[in-house]
Parts: sequence; C-alpha cells; structure tokens
Amino acid sequence: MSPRTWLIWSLAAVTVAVSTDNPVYRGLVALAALNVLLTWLPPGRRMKPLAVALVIAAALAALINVLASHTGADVLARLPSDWPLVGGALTLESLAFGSDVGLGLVAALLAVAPLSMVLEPHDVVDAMPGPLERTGIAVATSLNLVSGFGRTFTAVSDAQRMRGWRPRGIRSWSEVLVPVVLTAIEDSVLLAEAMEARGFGAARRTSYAATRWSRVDSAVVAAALGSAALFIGFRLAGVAIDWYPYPILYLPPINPALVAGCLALALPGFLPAERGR
Amino acid sequence: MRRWTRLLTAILAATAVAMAVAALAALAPASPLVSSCAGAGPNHAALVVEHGDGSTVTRCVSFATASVSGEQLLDLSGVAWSGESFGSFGEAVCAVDAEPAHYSTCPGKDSYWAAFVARGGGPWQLTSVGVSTLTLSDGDAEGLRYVPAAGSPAAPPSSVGVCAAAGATATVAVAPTATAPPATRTSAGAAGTASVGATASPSAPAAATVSAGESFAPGVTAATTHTSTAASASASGVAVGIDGAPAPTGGSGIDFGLLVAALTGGALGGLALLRLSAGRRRPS
Amino acid sequence: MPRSIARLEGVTYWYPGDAPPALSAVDLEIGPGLTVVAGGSGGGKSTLLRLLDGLVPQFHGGRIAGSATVAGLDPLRTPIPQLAQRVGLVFQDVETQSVYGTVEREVAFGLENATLPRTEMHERVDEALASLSIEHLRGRRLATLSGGERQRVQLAAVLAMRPALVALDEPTSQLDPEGSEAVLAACLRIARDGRAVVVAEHRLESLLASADRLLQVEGGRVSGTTEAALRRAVVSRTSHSPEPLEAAWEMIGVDAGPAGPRGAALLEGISLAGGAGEVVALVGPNGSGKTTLLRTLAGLLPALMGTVRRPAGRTAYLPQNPGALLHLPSVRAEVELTLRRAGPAPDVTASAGAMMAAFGLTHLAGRYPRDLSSGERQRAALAATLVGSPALVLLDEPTRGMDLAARRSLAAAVHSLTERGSAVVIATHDADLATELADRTIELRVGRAIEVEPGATPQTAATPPAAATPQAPR
Repeated sequence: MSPRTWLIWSLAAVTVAVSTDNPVYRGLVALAALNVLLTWLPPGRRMKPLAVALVIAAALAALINVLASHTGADVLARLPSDWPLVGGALTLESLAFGSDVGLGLVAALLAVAPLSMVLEPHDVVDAMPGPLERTGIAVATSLNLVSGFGRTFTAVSDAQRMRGWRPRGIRSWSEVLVPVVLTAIEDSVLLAEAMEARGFGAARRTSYAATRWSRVDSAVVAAALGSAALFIGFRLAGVAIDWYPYPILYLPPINPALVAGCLALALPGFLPAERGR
Repeated sequence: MRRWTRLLTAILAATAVAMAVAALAALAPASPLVSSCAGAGPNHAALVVEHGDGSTVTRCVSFATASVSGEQLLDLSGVAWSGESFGSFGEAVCAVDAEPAHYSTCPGKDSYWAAFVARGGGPWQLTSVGVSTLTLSDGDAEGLRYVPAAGSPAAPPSSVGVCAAAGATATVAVAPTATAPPATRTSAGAAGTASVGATASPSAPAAATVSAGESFAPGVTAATTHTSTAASASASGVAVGIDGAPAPTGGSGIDFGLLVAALTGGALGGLALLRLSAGRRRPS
Repeated sequence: MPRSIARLEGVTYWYPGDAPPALSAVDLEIGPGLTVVAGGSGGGKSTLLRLLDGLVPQFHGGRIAGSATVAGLDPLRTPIPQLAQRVGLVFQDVETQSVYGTVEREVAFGLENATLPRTEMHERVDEALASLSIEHLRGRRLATLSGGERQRVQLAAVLAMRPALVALDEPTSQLDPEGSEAVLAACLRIARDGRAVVVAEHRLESLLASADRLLQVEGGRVSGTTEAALRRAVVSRTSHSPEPLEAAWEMIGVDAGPAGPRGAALLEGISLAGGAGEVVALVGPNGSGKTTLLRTLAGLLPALMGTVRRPAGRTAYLPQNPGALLHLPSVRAEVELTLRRAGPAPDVTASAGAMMAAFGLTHLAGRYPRDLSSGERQRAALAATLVGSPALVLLDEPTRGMDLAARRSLAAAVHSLTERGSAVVIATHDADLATELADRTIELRVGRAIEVEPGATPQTAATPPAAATPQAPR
C-alpha cells in the first residue's frame, strides 16, 4: 500500500474514533485497527511497548473519571465527601464513561500506530503532499533521533548513579534530565549540520521513489473516507450516535450502518501484506 | 488450505461466542423493576397526564414494593417520557408523548411539565422535588400537566377512580402512546434500531420523534427517553388497549444492531487473536 | 604541477563570541589525492574541514577574514546547497548523520536535494555503492549495520553527488578496528581515483604511507609536517612484578545482558577476577558484550545468574559517550561534584585541581564543559569520573576521539590509580592502549571470556582484505 494511503487511512480512523463516543463503535474501530496493524507489522517488530502504552492510557482515563466525576445512579463506593476533588460517590456510570474515553484513546493510538511501526521514515516523507514535504522530513529525522534518547537516558543515569547520584525527589532528577536534554539538542544540531552539508536547503526537491498507486490503494482510500463520511454525516444529521450513561447505565444504541462503516476501516487487514519493502 | 480452515474456525467460534453474549444481553432485564413487579402486586398508584390541548391519559400501576418513585411509576405506566436530572432535585420531566416535540431547555421557557402528587385520594399538590425523588405508596397518585410558564399551574383532572378496580381495564383516553416498544432503556438513538421479535407498533414513531427531534449539542447532558417494558405493562394489570399484541414475557426481542455489532466485533477480535498467536509461535 | 582543488589565503576565523580565533592566518593548497590532517584536540581540525564546505561561517556564524576557493566556488559566500554538489563532508558521529532508515534512500538524500531527475538518481546511487563495493548493503536498514558499514554508507551518500573534494572528520573514532580499516581503505580507494580526499584523524598509521600531503593543525595554525613527526612514540610498558594478587573484584558464573537471537543471554558463564592495582583490558568487536560486562560489574545491570563481587569503596564508571553526562557550568564544578558525593574529603579544591592538572585541563577549569571540543570533553569527563580514590575503575572506550596528549594523560592517570591500589578494567578497541597499560587482556568472543596474550590481535569473524594495519613498533 502506498504511504499516502496509510496516511489517509490513519486520519480517517482517528476521525471516526473521535467523532463518536459510543463505546461499541470505538471498540470496533480499535479491533479493526489492531487487525490492520497485525497484518502489516514487519517481522521482528515488537508490540509490547505499544500494548503497555494502550493499557496505561485506558486505565488512567477510567481511573481519572471515576475519581473526579461523582454522578450516576449505581454507586460502587464512597469516599469521604470532604476530600477535595475525589470525595464523594464513585459510581459505575463514571467508571463506564471513563472507560469509554480510554477506549477512544486506544482506538486512536492503534489507528496511528502503523505510521511508525509499519512505515519507514522515508515513507512518511513520501506520503506528504508537496507543501508538507519538509514537515515530513522533520518528522522522519526526528523519529531517527528519538530512538537514541532512550539509550542516552540509560547511559547518563548509569553514569550519574556511579558518581553518587540518587533519585531523591523531583529536583534531583535534573542531574539526569538536563544532560539528556542537552545531548538531545546537540544531536539535533549535528543532524541539522549534516543535512545542510548534503544540500538540504530552501529549494524544491525531487523524489527518489516512484509513487505507485494501485487498485488496492483506491479501494482502501474509498473505504476509509466513506467510513469517516458516514460517521460525520450521521452526526450532522442529528442521528445521535453518542452514549451518555448518566444518570443510569444503559446499553448503547447500535446502528448497523455505522457498524459496517467500522468494518470498512478493517479492509487493509484483509489484504495480502507485501513484505520486504 | 490449512490456514483458511483455521481462520474459518476461529471466526465461527468467535461469532458463536458473540451471539451468545448478545442473546444474554438482550434477555437480561433492562430494569430491575421488572422482576420486582412481575405479576400483579398488592399496591396501586395512579398516573394522570394532561397535555397542553386538554387530552388526558390515565394509568393505574401496580407494584409489589411498599413504595415507588415517581420516575419508576412513569416507567411502569407505559407512557413515553423523557427527563433531565438536576442534582439533588432529581429528575424533571421534559417531554411526555412527544410534547414538546423539540426542546432546547428543560424545563421549557414558555411551557413546562408541572408535577403534582395526591396522597391517599386527596387533592392535588404541586411537588417541589423531581419525579425521581418523589415517593408514592399504595393509593397515591402522580399528576403531570403541561402548563404555561407564567403563573401558578392549575391541577390536572382528579385521580379518583383511576385505580378503582385492580386489574380493570383502564380507559386510554387518547391513543398515541407506545405500546410494544423494545425492552431496553435506550437513549435518544433508539430511533435507528428496528426491534426484532416485538411487534412494531404504529406508535413507535411517536417515541422516536422525541429523540430525533431533540436539538441539543452532542455531549451535553442527554435527556433519557424512557420507554417502559411491555412485559411490566401486562404484568401490572393494565390492558394494553390499542393493538393488544402482547410482548414476549421476560424480555424483548434481540436488538438487530446489537447482533450485527457483536458479530463484527467477534469476527475482528477472533482474527486479531489468531494473528497474535501465529506471531508468537513464529520464531522471531 | 597538480592542480589545486582548494586554496585558502590568510583565513582567520572566530566562532561567535570567542576571543581567540579558531583558525589563524591559514594558507594552504589542497590538490587531488589523500591529504591527512593531524593535530591535537581543539586545535582547529574540525573547523578547517567545515570551512571547506562552507558550514563555517555560513552555518555556525562568527567572523571570518581572508579568502578561499574550493572547487571553483567561494565557500564564504556561495550558498551551501551549491557547495554541497562539489564538496562532501562525512562526520564523526554515525547516528546523528543519518536522515533516513534505509541504505538506498540515505544515499539518495543529497541527490533529492539537488533536484535531479529520477533516472539519474538511480544511476548515481548504483555508481556510489559500486565504487565502495557495498552493493550488498543496498536494501538493508541502517540500524542493522555495523559502525564501519554505516560510515561507508555515509561516504557513498557523499560520493553520489560526484564531488571534487571529500572531507572526513574523524570518521573512525567510534569504530572498532575492523570498521576503521574498512573506512580508511575506502578513503584510499577514492583518493586514488583522482579526487581530493581530506581526512582528519588521530589514528593515522594506516594512512601515513599513502598520504600525498600531511598537515598539522595546532592552535589554529596549519603547517605541513612529515611522516616521521607523526609516527607516535610508544610508551614502553612499565614492568609489573607478577606477584599473586588478592582478587579485588570477581564475577563467578555470570549470565548477563539482553537475550540474544537464540534466546541465551549475551554473556554466558563469565568467570573473571582481578586484583587491586591490576589493569585488565577487555577487547572484542562491537556488540560482543564489553559494555554489558562492565555494567554488570558496576552493578548497574543485574546478573541473571551468578555472583558479582566488588571491592569496598567507590566504583568509578566511565560510559561510552562520557560528554553526555556533563551539565554543570564549569569543568571544576563537575570534578568537585564527584568528590563531594564520594564522601567527606579533606581538601576538595586541591584534589580537584590536581586531577585537572593531570589531564591538562587547568586552563579550561572555568569553561562550560559542553563548549569544549570532543577530545577536551572526553578528558573533562575522565577527570570528573576518576577523581578521588575509587577502589574499582571501569572505563568503556576511554580513548575515543583522543589525541596523543590526552592518551598520555590517561595512561599516567591509570598508573597513579593502580599505584594507590585501585583495580582497573578497560574495555577498548585500541590495541596500543591495551599493550601499554594492561597487565592482562581478556577477549570477549561469542559471549564468553577468554584470556589472551596482551597485545595479540583479537580474532574477528572475517578480516577484510584491506590495507594491513601496521603493528606499532615495540
């Protein structure tokens, strides 16, 4: 699939995940995006960091909502009311709504995951339309640099630890974070210098890769845009596709047309994935 | 070929699981009140609703518990209504039977639904609490009247005689109430779902118009449209007047949308699991 | 008379805000063939190379006087994208030069900037890869290549532009011996094709014989020099009496490190020990686990199996990129920080002063360490790490980017540490350093540690048939 197709698909999937807060649709979008990711993931790429990020995002969203919002008919527990912010009833409805928000985050993250896990940095550049190409290059090169930051962090914290540093409160972390940030800035400048030395200037650029566009690309783009249009259309027409579980929890409304829209987003997951690009 | 059979098996298994879940969800009672009021209970309370044009709807509702809230009474009565919650005040009635068809504020600026209570056959008294906070016991009555905003609201017609005989057929003065709607308490979105199994009543659009016409911004506190269970209506001894088609007892039919969603979700989930396990078995 | 490709006349350059000029009254001519630039760290080698392609002064700012012509263009005024088509520059750090993730696109990056048509780009990429014999790397991802391979890819990226002059700024400083050989051989090859190649390096031996021109840059001044002057005098080993030492540190049956491709840990069954006052050198190619072993010994990485014992007292650890850990406003502050953390010391200022003097940093004591040149930063980090009396000293590639003076300071510092009873372990590619300092040499091969003769060339999987590295005369 062409990189531009990926970009359009990702944007459409995120739009759908954001345009509704019905957990059924969000869940279906998440499952569709997961299928797509699993189909196209290059061999040897690890899913674990993404999985960890997803779990943390969802859990945090649910937790924050259940602690901060105290409306809802089914009370699970009570905290003393005089506690600031978290005092009051902890209800099933706020847990459900918080989980819905978390589900939205998960769906959106899974929708954009292929852009970094499946595509190469140069694909991101190729995907950008002309005026945005330089932005694409900035994104691609930063992806290269960012992977080095984790190593810098480990190295610096190791070294400072051996010099006697101990993590003791927030302020002590400056001894590790400041060098890491400084190193990051310096690396960026070094990269900028190298790019400049290879002629990266204000002039236009030509593209090494031939843009290839096949029927598959057209199909995926049509399906993705159609799905997004469907959701936006329903919203504009006032057909309620939302879910607001207050004051009492209830089963969200499900429209088969919108379910079909979610399924359309899963189309790339059913295509044969090309390997060794 | 083996890969396809495995794929197919996984999809079928996931779909079967999904269907089982959907069936269970559909069969589950939507409201705990159904079970507590299954079968004619010893206690009765009346509901009188007077619309802006003067037409009146009366219902007699029986219940087994010592008291019910005004909200529960409305639910049990089979009247289609929607309300909004206002903190400690409780639930206020915003629309009954599509009056008003659209509203942007509740209670409305020009006209609103005033709530009354009559204790033990006595005179109507204006309530100062929401219908969810109001409690009614055997022999009490709840009244709703659509009144102009200005001035003190006049009371609805008397509730005496509404519950005169337990199990007697209550006259339904004016027809258009939903009679055999789907069991699930749905929000304003049920408009799209067709009910499978339950008789589509000619008045279902009435319930739908309330939701489709609401012009509030998404995300703002949605008014919940309450449609009661047909099962409870029959159990409480109120004959459903117009079409007489009894709803299946113990729960409504399976929601088609739910089924489709469960199927799709099951298939996608099953596929994802299959791919994950294949990836793990593959030596990386 | 060989035509000159680059000519500088009376060039003096000041970095922004600096009082002493980085280059002073430089007059030189560079023609086709190999030019080797030597000189101490901070002396101006990097500045000179950046002048050739216009980065100085156009990217870095500052003031400049004098005139220059490179490949027919004026580097002081011509926009850098135009200069980039005639002059190529390969930098020291492999990772911060790469724009893309794959070899083919990386080589084509410069061509895209030059707005060449697609067919010509493909042609030139093929040509560049062939000229360095790295066509087999074509479809690979950069992250999977070794340092030597990556630097050659960067060189190919520069060659694809068909420049008249190629400059390389310490290209082998981060590479192991195999990688260095490959890169320097590549430089020789393109120099023989008639291009002008300018290489700034500390480790020069393999180039000296083939150099057409030798330059020394010291204190901003450039002068011609001779091969004899550049051949390093080797410090002879101080003899250690082989008395049986009590083990100060040991690792018994240790498994450590991330799981390798076959599931086993990177290091398996390591059993080593070292005594107080003993210097142990750890050699082996990149990726063999030297850093993992040092980190396990330091206690930063938990051993999956086995025990690690360290002597009582402070352990000093110098990581691979030591400049990264500096952040305080002055070199002195960094050195004093370590002293104060180590515990109550009688006279922090004096100890710090002595340490800085040992590394030749006294004149830099008040400077912000990140402003220093890479070799000076290395020395500052060493001073900040080794100060005090650590019982165990672990050094990971300490001589990276170091010039001769710095290596001497390091050798002296290690000697004085061992005399005070510290145990020292050095992981290094540098065979000369191992010869000079080590009492014992351990080679890491396939996750196991093998004791070897000090000074023996570590066996590598395949020695490329490049120019032979001359052994340093004993």
